[in-house]
Amino acid sequence: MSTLDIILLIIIAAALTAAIASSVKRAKQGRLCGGDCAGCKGCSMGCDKK
Amino acid sequence: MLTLKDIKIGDTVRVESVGGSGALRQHFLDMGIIPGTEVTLVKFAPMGDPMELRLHGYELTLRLADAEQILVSELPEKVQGAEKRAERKRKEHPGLGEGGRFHPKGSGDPLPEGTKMRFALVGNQNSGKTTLFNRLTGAKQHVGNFPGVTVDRKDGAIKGHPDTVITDLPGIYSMSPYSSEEIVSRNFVLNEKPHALINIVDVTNIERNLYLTMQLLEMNIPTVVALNMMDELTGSGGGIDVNSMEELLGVPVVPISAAKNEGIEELVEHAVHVAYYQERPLRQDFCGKSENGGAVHRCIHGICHLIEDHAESAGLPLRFAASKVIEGDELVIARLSLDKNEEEAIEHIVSQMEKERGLDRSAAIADMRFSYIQKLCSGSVTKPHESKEHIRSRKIDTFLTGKYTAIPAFILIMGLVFFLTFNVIGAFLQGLLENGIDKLTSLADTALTNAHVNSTIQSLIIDGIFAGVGSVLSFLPIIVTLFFFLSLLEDSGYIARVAFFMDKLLRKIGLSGRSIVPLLIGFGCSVPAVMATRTLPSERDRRMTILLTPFMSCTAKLPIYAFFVSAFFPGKGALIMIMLYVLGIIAGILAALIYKGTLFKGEAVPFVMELPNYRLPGARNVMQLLWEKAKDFLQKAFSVILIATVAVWFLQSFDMHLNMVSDKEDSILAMVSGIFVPVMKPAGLGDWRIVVSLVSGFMAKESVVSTLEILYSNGVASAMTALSAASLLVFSLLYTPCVAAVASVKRELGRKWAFAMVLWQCGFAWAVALIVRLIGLMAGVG
Repeated sequence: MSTLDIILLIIIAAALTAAIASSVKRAKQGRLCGGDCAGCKGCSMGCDKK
Repeated sequence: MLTLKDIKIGDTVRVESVGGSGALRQHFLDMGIIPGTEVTLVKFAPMGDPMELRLHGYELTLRLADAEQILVSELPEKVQGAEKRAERKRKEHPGLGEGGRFHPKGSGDPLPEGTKMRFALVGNQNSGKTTLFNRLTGAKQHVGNFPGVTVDRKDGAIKGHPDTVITDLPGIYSMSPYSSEEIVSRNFVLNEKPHALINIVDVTNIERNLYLTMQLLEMNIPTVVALNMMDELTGSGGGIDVNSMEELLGVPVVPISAAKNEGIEELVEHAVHVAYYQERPLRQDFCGKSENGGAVHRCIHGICHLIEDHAESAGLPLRFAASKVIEGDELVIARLSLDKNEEEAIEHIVSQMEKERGLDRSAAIADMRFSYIQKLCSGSVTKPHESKEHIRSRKIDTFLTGKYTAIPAFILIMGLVFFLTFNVIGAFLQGLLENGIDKLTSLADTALTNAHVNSTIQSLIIDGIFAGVGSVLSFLPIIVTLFFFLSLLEDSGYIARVAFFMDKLLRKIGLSGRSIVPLLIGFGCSVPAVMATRTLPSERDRRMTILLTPFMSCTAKLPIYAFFVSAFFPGKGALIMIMLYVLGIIAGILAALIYKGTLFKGEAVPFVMELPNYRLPGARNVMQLLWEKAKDFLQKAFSVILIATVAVWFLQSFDMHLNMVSDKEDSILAMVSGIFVPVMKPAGLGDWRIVVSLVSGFMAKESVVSTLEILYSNGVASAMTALSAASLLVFSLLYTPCVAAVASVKRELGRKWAFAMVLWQCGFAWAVALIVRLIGLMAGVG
């Protein structure tokens, strides 16, 4: 594996990690709870204020 | 006695009593259908139900079954249409919400320095709330949703006041817990305790709008009333004596035109002033001591004294709590934790009031509010002649909701929207974007080849990320274009009319008229269709509509149909396509009937809806909406879809020992797909290549064809029978929507529902494909 390969792999891994983190963050928001959210998932839009 | 259902078009009658019970009845009352109100029947929907009524100067739709519960009496000829115009003296400006000589002494209770002032923007639907919010905040908005429900929430700082945050609450008609929007708004005001409310009032429809104002004032929170659309009112010969209104309401009143950006600065100054000095409404008592014998007045004040301690410990505004206790609002009653003796005492007081007033509790409170509004309006509002906006709307409606023209016009308009989106504008933009993505892909491919990058990494970047994310990304122009047209239709007021005349048809399958729009969009793309269900007021209707959208054949499936038609049914393309679309609709109706009888028992929400005047939507609002949709889609493309494409690439490129495969038949995907082969066999789809293509179709429907082309190197026609092709067509039509659509469903309904929908659609498709195969075998088609 060349240096370029490793750099590309790191970039892809970083992009995937960011994508997973973003998906998880969105999943935590109330709108993903399907109406079952009881303010317990740390939603940035209000639940965590209470 | 007559009911509202029995009257003829053009008749004006007086409401005598409102039947029904619970939240629906309260909603009737909140919308102004109270004893004594004059109501005119404007027209019936083309299918005879629902009806369009005119009351308190606005148009309302009502189903005949609901109208039957409202008793009315005829008016004497001479009373009809008579209007008094009172002479008024000009009042001095009360100067509420301002500094200077009129500043009420001792009423100020300034917030500590550095406090971030929180505002809530509250108003009726169609009152210009979104336009005002955009004016107040500019482009800096944070979109999210309220906890527990998928009701959109927008926050932003007021321009020029970075130390403020204003929340755009959903458009509501009252503070009764009728819809999720009303509950959200009420809870926000009660629990989040904003420092001030900005109440936007549509002056062209002032009586009904002020009904909400009355209830907001009872909340005892500093409030500013923004009289919106003043330009329309004055343009039609009407006017408002703002000084009188300010004095009668006890809060600052500011005339504005959100659309023309007039009066906004003054509104902000007043809002910031009342919030900073915590200047609460000077008036909350709208019940006259001598009005109708004073029964309501004594009842409210008696209960106020009785529950004072409970309201204080529950953190509820006293006057609001008392009104809600009288109305029998269970949420408020539970929160007050009243003693049994107190509950009984309240019941006695309320019963006595009902007896003395001659109206039931809810009607008496609604009547008290509307009586005050009438007094307020007769003292401060000069009613206009019929506004030019209303005259224009009436003229347009003779065609767009006419008995014989409504449905043809609807088909024509939707046809035009789809044609422009999928054939002209959207398709053109999609072509451009696809070209760009293709060029970028080949550029990246060449660069990676020249740089001698490892072939596996190159495959991951080109065949995985670029191909997967790129194919989904190319849908962005279609989605944005479709939403552009839909927002034009929605904001212009046309969608409300579509719901009006399609209601009867959709009610038969358990939905209300409003569901028609997402279902129609589903023929274009399921992703915006699922997103469009947010406009539906009931959670039951919304869920049911979302689950029905996959039955509407989306445009991404067209390449599959075209591919098999040319291979197996040449010359019968149009027939097969039409049959597939019709089959999708029939399957959808069948599924709706199943849902109606199982998951979503009960009736669709009552169709009590306002029909606003037609208006040209503001370019700024439309652009803002498009930007939100595009941003949302892009975020998804680079998160969920990126992960999924990499996963699929991995599964189709490696075998179980993690060696890269040259033949896809050896891949993990082929092996996993092999498990499903026995399951698919009865439906005539027992070939691993078909299974793999269908699995790849989960990523994007278009890839079914490309996968089949790769896997059947000798041509699909030699390897499949016409009957298998028919089964495959039916299966493709009905099986799970693509990952983007499933992700949308997951976002709206949650993981469980999205997963259940995937399984259900696959099972449903399998069953129908099996039936098609069995019919074919019985008919001797092989």
